[in-house]
Amino acid sequence: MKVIQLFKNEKLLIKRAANQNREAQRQLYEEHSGKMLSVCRQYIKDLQQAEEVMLSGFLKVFLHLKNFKNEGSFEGWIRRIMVRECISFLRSNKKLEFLEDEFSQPEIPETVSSDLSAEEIQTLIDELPEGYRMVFIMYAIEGYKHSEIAELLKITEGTSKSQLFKARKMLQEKLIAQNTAYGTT
Amino acid sequence: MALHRFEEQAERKLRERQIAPSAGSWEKLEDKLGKDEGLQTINKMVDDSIKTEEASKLDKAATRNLKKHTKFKPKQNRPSRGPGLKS
Repeated sequence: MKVIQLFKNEKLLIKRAANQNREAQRQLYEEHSGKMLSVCRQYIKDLQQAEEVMLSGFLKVFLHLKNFKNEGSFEGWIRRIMVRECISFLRSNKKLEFLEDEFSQPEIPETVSSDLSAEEIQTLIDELPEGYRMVFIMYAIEGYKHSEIAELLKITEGTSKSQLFKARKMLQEKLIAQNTAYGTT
Repeated sequence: MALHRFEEQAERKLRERQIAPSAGSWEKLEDKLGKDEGLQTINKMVDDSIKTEEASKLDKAATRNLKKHTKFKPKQNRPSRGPGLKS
């Protein structure tokens, strides 16, 4: 019952915000900004820059709110706008490059370890080269397909696959090193 | 750690994570929204004015066309005969 109420409230809030009702816009911002800043922070290491990108993302959200058809989840719709905004920011700052070298598929060894916190996970992802990071986050966390990643990043599907593979390989090496350091291998 | 477990954790924990924006971030966005709406209003006014101007030009052209193709000549363009010729 509460979920239905919440959904109805959000629908109404979206309608009002689309008509430039500032209070409704503020409520939507307060409800979603925490998660959206987290999305931007995944792609952009500097938190201040991530926040700037999130704000311009929200500007686009409110500008195009009339185009939101209430067909999918509102959060999913905002997330996609944020991801595009991050890509555009990284591209304009020339931070997006995709390291290409030989692509083979050797076995990735597996090790056992305890749970990692969100911050530990973020630190490991932050250490990846930009292209690997982007593709890894888009594929493994945001759930984009290789064809979608290729279109958004203007690369081929093959490049997307190889970047993901290399990201995984590098992450695995880091996890092994971390486990060895903690003596859990 | 098995890589697939790492990915599962990464997906769950990073998707759930929330980072509080800095104080005053809403005000910053509000300011940007205000500027953007102002710009939109100006753009709309410019668009409307262009449309009115174009409509007026079209209207004038249509009147010219109508005058050219009609046999009727407006009275004020005819030379006056003067009052003496009436009878």
